[in-house]
Amino acid sequence: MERALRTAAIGGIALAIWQSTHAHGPSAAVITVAFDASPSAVVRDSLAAHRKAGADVRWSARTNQPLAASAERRAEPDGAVTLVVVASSDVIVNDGAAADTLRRATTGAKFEIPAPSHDVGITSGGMRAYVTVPAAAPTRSVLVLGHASWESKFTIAALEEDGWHVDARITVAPGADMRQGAVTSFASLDTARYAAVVLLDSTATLDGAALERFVRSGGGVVMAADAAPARRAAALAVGVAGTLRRAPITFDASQPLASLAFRPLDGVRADASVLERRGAAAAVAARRIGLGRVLQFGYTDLWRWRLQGGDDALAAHRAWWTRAVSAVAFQQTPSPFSSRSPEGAPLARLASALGAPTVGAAPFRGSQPLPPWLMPLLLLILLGEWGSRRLRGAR
Amino acid sequence: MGGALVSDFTFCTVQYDSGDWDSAPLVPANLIDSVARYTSIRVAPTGVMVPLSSPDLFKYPLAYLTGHLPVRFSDTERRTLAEYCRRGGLLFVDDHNHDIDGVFHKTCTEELTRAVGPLHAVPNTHALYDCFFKFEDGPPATSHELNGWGDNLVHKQLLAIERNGRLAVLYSNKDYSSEWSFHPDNKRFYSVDNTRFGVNVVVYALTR
Repeated sequence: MERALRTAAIGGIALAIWQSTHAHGPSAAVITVAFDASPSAVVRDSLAAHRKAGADVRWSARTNQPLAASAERRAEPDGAVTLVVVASSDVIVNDGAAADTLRRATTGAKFEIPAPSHDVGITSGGMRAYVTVPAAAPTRSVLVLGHASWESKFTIAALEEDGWHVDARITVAPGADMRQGAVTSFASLDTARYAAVVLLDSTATLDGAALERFVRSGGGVVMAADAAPARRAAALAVGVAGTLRRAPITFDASQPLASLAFRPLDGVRADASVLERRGAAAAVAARRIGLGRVLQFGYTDLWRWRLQGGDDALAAHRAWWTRAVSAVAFQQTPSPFSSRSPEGAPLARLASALGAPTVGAAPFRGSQPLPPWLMPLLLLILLGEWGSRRLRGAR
Repeated sequence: MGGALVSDFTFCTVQYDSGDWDSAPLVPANLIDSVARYTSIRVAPTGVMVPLSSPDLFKYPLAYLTGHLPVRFSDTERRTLAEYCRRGGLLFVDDHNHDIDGVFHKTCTEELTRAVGPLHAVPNTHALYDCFFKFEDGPPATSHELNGWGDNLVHKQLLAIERNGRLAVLYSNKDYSSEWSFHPDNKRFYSVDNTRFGVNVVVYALTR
């Protein structure tokens, strides 16, 4: 039985598919395939159909280079995705935008993809794989607590301008708060409503037990150094705010964070990680408590960055706050049924459809077998040449 | 200025090259007194005067500007003001003439429109009117309005320019500069402190 599958007609993905010349019975055939690129679903399914019809399908892949990728949607309002790819050659990422986006990297790379709406395709060394982007979870609010100050105002502004929904409770006078949003009491402080709480100073009105319960259940806390002395927040603090180091007289726009007053984080807890240093002192550190996380920073008057920084200060200040909040924000676990990618791991799917690859499969040598008369002809020519040389010597 | 001092609220009066920027010298001390009297906001005991063209303006996210005379901003003043508002600063302008036909109003609104954008009326339900003291009818009338001075009008609304949903310029024709221009000790002679709306402007600026 002879059947030929023309690779060009099915997308040119398989380098060669050919049928062996020997049959095993009236309906059985051996189909041997060598791939030099990941096969399309059409090729894979057609081979699987042959297999189910009784054909002995053997396959091997020359380019089974390791290619691993993971996509994690950041807990930010814009739904940006962090894509980590590990490959043994250059990588091209197609994030599904109207115009394909090509990003090259050798071996491993991390990409930031703004809000992809589709699965992300990755090509490396002939292998093409897709990674399913977790569905964007509904964004929870951020609760900002502090006293009436420029820091409170511009923290709320930065987060709102970056897309966060912000509730706030800002102390203006004893017994008088400015309330923004639905915040009424700390009984409503749970991860169903809030992703994170920002504590800006020690005057923030808070219920320490409710806050700790919130963190242990997965919520996040961003704590300014000035908030650490608050008795009720001390249990959550990553470190102890040290002595204030005053800001330089002039604000250096090229080094905005170095131009701010600063309280070093002393005595960072053993279970915490220092994320950023200023000189030898810890400037930003974080720790995990239960299912949640707490991030503490030593900078004070971050609002000055926005007002007195360089041309990009407005965006940089917003981005800093978004990074701080998203680093600890509650993230809903994506549903295991949210995977939409049909081609997530092409080799694994191929093995699932066709069985394990054939060890020592016949290497690719062309699309047609050699004619049976070719070998005797070559031998005859060789014999003639040999005889000619022998006869020439006999004269 | 360095260190913790920048955390405090410091009342800032804007100097500009044209006009009489210093026409209400008692207002800063009076409002500083009111903010300290009614709230727990950390407030610097003295105000500052900063040229509109100076980068120092960006140290003070709330600034107060007033005058009687024609206003013409220089190019530098215009650029600085536009950038100040873009970054989140709030300029509170009060027409010391309380006269919509007056030269200050005509020229200052022109300059503000040119530098930042067109002014629009602030609804009397705005957060400005209930962020601390409650003003159910919008901006409180001044004695100068009620006495029929200036343009002989009681101005029902303030004007504003917004950026990102927040006030960037707040403009008043009500002459709060005259209304609040008295020594803080004299508050005891008032049955209702008329600087309470000034406290609201400060609280709004610090919280919204």
